[in-house]
Amino acid sequence: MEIFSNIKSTFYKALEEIINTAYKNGGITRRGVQEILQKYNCNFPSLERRVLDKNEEENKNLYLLKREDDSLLTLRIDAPIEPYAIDIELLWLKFITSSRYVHLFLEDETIEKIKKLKVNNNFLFDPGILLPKNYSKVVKREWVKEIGKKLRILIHAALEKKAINYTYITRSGHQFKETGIPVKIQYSLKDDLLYAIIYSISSHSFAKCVVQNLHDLELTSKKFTVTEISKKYEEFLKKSQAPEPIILEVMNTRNALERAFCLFSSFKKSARFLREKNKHQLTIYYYTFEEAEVLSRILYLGKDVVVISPERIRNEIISRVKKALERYEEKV
Amino acid sequence: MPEFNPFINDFNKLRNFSRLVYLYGCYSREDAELFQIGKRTFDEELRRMRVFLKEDEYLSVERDGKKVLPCVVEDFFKEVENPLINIYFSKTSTPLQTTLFFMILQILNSSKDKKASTNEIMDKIYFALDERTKDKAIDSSIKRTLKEMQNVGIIKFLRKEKVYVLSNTIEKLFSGFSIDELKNIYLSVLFFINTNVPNVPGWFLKESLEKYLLKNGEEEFVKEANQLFWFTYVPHHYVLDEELVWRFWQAASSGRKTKVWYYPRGKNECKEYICIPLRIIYDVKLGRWYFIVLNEKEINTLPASRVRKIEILDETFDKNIFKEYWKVIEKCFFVSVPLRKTGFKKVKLRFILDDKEASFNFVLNRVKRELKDAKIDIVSQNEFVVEYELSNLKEFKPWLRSFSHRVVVEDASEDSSKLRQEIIEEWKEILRNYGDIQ
Repeated sequence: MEIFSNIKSTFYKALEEIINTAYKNGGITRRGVQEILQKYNCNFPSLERRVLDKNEEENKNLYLLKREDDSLLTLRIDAPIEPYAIDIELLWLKFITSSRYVHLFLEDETIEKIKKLKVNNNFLFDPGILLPKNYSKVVKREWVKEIGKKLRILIHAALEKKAINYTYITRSGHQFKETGIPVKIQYSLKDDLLYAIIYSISSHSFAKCVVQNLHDLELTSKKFTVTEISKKYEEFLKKSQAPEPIILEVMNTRNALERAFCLFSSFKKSARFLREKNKHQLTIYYYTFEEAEVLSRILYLGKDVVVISPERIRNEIISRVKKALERYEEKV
Repeated sequence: MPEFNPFINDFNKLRNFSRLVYLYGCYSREDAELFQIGKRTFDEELRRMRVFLKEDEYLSVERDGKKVLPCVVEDFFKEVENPLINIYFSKTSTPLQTTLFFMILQILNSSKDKKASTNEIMDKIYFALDERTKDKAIDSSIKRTLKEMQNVGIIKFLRKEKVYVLSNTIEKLFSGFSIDELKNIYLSVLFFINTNVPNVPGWFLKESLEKYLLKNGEEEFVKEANQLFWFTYVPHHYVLDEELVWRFWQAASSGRKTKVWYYPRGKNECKEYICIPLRIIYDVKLGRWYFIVLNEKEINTLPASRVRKIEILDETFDKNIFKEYWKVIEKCFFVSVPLRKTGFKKVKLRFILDDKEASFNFVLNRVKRELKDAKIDIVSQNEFVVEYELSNLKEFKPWLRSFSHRVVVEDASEDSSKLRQEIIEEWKEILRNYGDIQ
């Protein structure tokens, strides 16, 4: 079962659109073909010649289209292509029904229907063979149905751009009654939690709420335009950018490099090789609200990395390491 | 010089180069030689990456003097898509293969009940391709394409009627589902392709469902749904090794042995192993895959990034052996798996939470979740002690360090003392690296 398949190439996607456009409009112009090829980043002379049958050697042309007149190309077989799926897509869909999160979006009835979907090549992948490690599994399977009910109201409100009334209970037990517009649903892999980013209508600010801790969710009929809110969200992100990036030096060993780059792969970053030091320099851009996470990741990498700047982060690492050593000197 | 065509046959080419640019991020063509990538290959592969990673969206350049550093730019506080998925859309095919694939699809789409016999398909193709086929018969190519389409599940051969049928149109597959159910499936696909691995076929399904929803006038829903989620701290490079993961998974699921081409650590030479595929471990934090294999009564862990190729062999094995090994694999903290239960080492850890920055319950719960089967004793309101068995001391250290001063390894056993000494030495070495001599 190949997943690297020509059927899924962007060239095939472009051809499918060319065929369906030509069918719908009773033909397609050369310009129309070129525009679709460009849309799929397939605008290369060799591919264009292939589609337009311009190669002198016949076996290099496709012959899916034929020239009707000077400006129009029509289909050699006048038929469209309906959307279809290949077996591996269906097997994957069946596989996700084993996830503890499946009830977030789907009702039992839909899950059962998916399980019964017929796959031509009747093969099943054993989900037990996959074993995730090095993560925190916070949300338990039995909690998911309850979270799913809340999530569906939030999704509905976000898609319909409607406000919701809700009560939020913070981790420390404080209760807030609010009206707001859900803007995004966030899933953080680090802490395995679902959050709703809600724009409060009364305080004109964004709140990040753990979905589990939202109660009495109620959809209102008030509709909103989100353009203004999206702008505010962009501003909030801009303001939250750390004033300077963290510059790390990483030892030039394959293992150190791989771990460092993997750990910071989800951050905006750049790298270069410092020939004179035989080290790699990694520059990490981050938001101020991520600082604790970035520090924990630097400590995770241990002696393989050194913070060069900013001085404040460098001193914070030194201070934490000193504290750790002091602990070993204490009598516990 | 041959004309540039971005499509390729060898997935490993793009896989290796994407790892360099994306994961190791932003090296110049001069520095890329450190990773055994020549300048000419660098230029060609970078051009290819520009095509598939949508240059204006994800690929950018930085300048360092005269050097140009390409880098993949993504901000997970804004973006949802994994840009690396696009490398799976780069496989080439011959012009004839392409033509036949589309013509067969068109013929079946326009036939009654979406069915046609081999002869009908052949006749229609010969008629449509008159100048292409006037001197050359393409019967065997048509049959081969039909077989390939059958293998991936697009069409099915009905033996009784002796016809091919278009079996996997979305309309037919999901005919028993309401449009709301389909929308919910689409939302769940958007969620799982970013949170659940492996997921490349999920990205294919997203596109298939999207085409169907758009055809049915759901543009607004598709647009809004694609802006709904936000996924943070998800590594994206796992996708580079997924091609191998699916092959290994298929072999293990069907009880077939594998032949693996692997580069052992520190060696440039590729070795071949015939082994039993036991399990796939995914390191969620670092986005890395590991293949656990049984090789002549020895358990080996192969990082997927060092594997070049996997072939599924005809030779089978008894899947009941999973029971024997899976328990041991699950007990291990990470990927180092001892052959016997005696391979585990006992360590004792003391957690002390006397600062305001970390909550006692938060740390306690994290330890409970992440150290399976650990024995935990609460000593006081800010202190607890953990006894735990490890298969490898080294792979435990990064986890310990992430708690910094909030944990101390105790002198409870020979192995615990060893770990304690190593951690102390490591903290000291870090201070020396910062120029602070202890």
